[in-house]
Amino acid sequence: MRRNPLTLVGARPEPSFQVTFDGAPLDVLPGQTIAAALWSDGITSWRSTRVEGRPRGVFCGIGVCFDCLVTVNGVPNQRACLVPPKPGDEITTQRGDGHGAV
Amino acid sequence: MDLQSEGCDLAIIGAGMTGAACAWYAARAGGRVAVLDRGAVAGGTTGAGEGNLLVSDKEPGPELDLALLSTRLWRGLAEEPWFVAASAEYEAKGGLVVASRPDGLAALEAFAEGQRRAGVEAESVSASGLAELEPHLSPELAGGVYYPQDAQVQPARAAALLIRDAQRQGARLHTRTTVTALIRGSDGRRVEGVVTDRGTLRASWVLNAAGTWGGEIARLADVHLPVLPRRGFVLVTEPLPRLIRHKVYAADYVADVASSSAALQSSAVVEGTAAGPVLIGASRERVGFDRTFSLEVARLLAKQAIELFPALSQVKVMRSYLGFRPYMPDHLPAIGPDPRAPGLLHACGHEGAGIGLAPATGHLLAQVLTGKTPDLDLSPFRPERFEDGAGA
Amino acid sequence: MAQYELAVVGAGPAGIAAALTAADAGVRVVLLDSAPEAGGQFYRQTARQLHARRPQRLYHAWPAWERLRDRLAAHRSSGLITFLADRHVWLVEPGFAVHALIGPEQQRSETVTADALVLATGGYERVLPFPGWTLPGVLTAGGAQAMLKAGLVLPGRRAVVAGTGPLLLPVAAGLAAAGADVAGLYDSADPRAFAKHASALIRNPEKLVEGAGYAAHLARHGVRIRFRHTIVRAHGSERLEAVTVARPDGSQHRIECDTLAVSHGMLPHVEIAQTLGAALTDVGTVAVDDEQLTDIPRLWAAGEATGIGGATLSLAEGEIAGRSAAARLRGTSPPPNLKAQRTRRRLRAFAEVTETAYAPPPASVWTAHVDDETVLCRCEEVTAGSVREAVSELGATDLRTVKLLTRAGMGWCQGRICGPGVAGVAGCPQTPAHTPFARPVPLGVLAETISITEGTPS
Repeated sequence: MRRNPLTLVGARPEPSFQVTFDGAPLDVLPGQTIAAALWSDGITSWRSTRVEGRPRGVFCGIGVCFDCLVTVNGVPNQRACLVPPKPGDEITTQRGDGHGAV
Repeated sequence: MDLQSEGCDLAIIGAGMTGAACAWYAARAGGRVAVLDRGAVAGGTTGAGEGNLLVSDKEPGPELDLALLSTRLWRGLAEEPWFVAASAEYEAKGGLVVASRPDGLAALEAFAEGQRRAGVEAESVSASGLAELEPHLSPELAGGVYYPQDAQVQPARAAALLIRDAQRQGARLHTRTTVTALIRGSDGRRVEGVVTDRGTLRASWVLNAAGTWGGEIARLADVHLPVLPRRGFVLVTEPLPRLIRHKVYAADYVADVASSSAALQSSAVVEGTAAGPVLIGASRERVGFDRTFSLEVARLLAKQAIELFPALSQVKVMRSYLGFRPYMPDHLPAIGPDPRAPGLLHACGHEGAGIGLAPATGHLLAQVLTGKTPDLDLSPFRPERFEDGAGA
Repeated sequence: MAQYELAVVGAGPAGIAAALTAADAGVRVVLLDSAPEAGGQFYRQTARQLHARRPQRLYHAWPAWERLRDRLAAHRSSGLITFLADRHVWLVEPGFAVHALIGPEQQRSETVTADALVLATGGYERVLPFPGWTLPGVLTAGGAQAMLKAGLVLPGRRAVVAGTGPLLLPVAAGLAAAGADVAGLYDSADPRAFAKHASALIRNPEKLVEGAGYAAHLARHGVRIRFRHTIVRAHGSERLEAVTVARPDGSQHRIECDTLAVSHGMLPHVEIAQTLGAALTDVGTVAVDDEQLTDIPRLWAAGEATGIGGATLSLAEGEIAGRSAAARLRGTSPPPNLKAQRTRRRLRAFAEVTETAYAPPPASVWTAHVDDETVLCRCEEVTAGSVREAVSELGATDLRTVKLLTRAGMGWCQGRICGPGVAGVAGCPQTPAHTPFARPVPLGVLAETISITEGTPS
């Protein structure tokens, strides 16, 4: 089997739980951040920018750049690289400033 | 060494909004203009304000007359093709002054009535009318007055655009050039140009548009101009959709502006910007040029903003900046030639109204320089008024 | 009366060392960090719930970490160190009151007070912009490593590691070990620069061994390493599909990949120090003396914030700061700590060599690849064209004015990421922005905060 990060460190993760991303189910290993869970599913962008509508995902990976902003349960501007999801969380692609139209 | 070997008609010290407007009007009138700044364009208070173009906060008198003229001129500038194309976030959004209690509302109404007689458009707004104008405003307010003539602009960008257009009319810009002395005539009083760290520049007229540092420039001519710094903080939020449609502020803001107290004065001024963030002011303190951040002031601004717009409670503040308004003891700027130093003009001391008052200042000075009668009587703004004891 | 004698902001190597050393001397310490666990970036922990049985596979200094972790646990049990995790410090007031937002939600704030403060705020990566750098799939080398260590995930299948700096080797090795196909490591540095400073390498043999270890590891995985190669462009429409790398002779070649881990060195986090009024050096780090004291009384700083130099240097500096703080709090001078001081001297010298050898290409070189459409400020999407216009036509002569005229640096990250890029393209010095909040703060939190001058903290 090709090496992967879990096998490299001999991880024995706890059972995964589900959240949704744009309505579709997403498996999350406890302890992973939203960004890590999305990456595991091959998803690398979850936001479109305010001016040009361009896709963004993780850039600095440590909470400094604010590129990885995503909306969780309707609350926008959560840094996906820092926030661990909880079972049942509804994660959605964030558009622009994340606050929707008024 | 000469900065410009041919000299110029008007050397303007200060590339902030006032200097920029003066350059633009003078260049348009055919003058050969040079603008000098020890830093960059908008390096002083212009880069630290909110972009208020207000008539609403001024009581009847010379400053209000200046503001009424200026606000008209701003509308004209905002329609110039070079201004429109480059976007300085000009919005003729109007201002809404709100009172939390009936007695405050009555005082506001009385104030507005006086302003109306002076030519200001002011519409009374009931408590329910407030909700229509600003859906997110606190429902606990007693009412307010709406001023359609108030507007907003991004000051640094607007100043830069004015200077660029003045340059198209032949004006020259010398940034990173510090004026160290003035060239004096043989009588020892006449001002004939400037000495800088990059050379000298002969000029028929020298204009002190150095804002909060205007007193230092005046000293170079051995004249006294009592400009003092009045510190203000602004909080800047995360980018938001258009929650707040007008410039909204609490009625006690006017009292703060008019106050001579050195202690902290603060009342809410809240507005959205075209770029997205909401700007929250406004505090006033006379603490010299102290650049230390004050959590106490930030807390007060936050509290006052939330009192007006409860929904702001969840909104994040990304940064705060401070600036030093150029404050004059009688709250009127100095505009015009200085009889104590022939050849020297002043255009500084606009306190928190500099952005709004800049076009009128520039326009009137251009009239003076071309020998026309200025559209407004400039005697309330005469720079020497503090010495004859009549300025109060 | 302050709640603690000493507050330490940042629980990376420097912060942990400072806290442990002070606690060893009996000082009551509060240690704060934004992460759920101590360790900072260098000792970033795999999430507990992933139960990694062989965590050392992702760390080369695991035994050193274990020793620190155990000492920290002991001091926490004894009560001398209070460790507050998930605390995002947004402001420190003089005297000192440390205001921190709690948890990833960051909706509430807590204030702790202390008589003295050690700032161990660490550093973050510098990335010089290039066309396409905003595509998903392009990320910092350290970010790829952080996500791998903490979440045991890879950014994609086929990675290129590029830029310059000592971080590239361990990142490439980590990605390869974790199963990524690392197409190549392209460092713009010139190895001949190292030969010039061979004596520094000899004095720091562990660095040679470390570097050689990574290189051997990469060789085993068939990863090519190329020096004097520069990343020039990232290609893709909605995500990264390929990169173009320039060879020393100027010719270019294209490499298909879905991940680009890029880094051009590190920058210090200095906002908290700045707001407190501490002097910075002319390279933008917090200025400290031999005891790691700043010019503000009872304020120390240690680690990357005082100069980028790696974990071992941070440990030495943290130890010196902790020892000094403990002594000064008791009104005495710190005893000499020759070992830590020697380590610091040696590693600072090595850091200077590294800095020179791994200096990014000069602005005149890298900005040549930056076309007007390239986004420089990622947050506000300000292009190089706007920045160039501000300088050439609108009278901008410094970074502050460029920011005012273009909005570059006004977004969420407050110029941390775009500072070097904008300064390079504008041709002006990179002056640190002064925000003064180290983190975005909800207005409601700000409205409730009580200033230290008003008495009891909330």
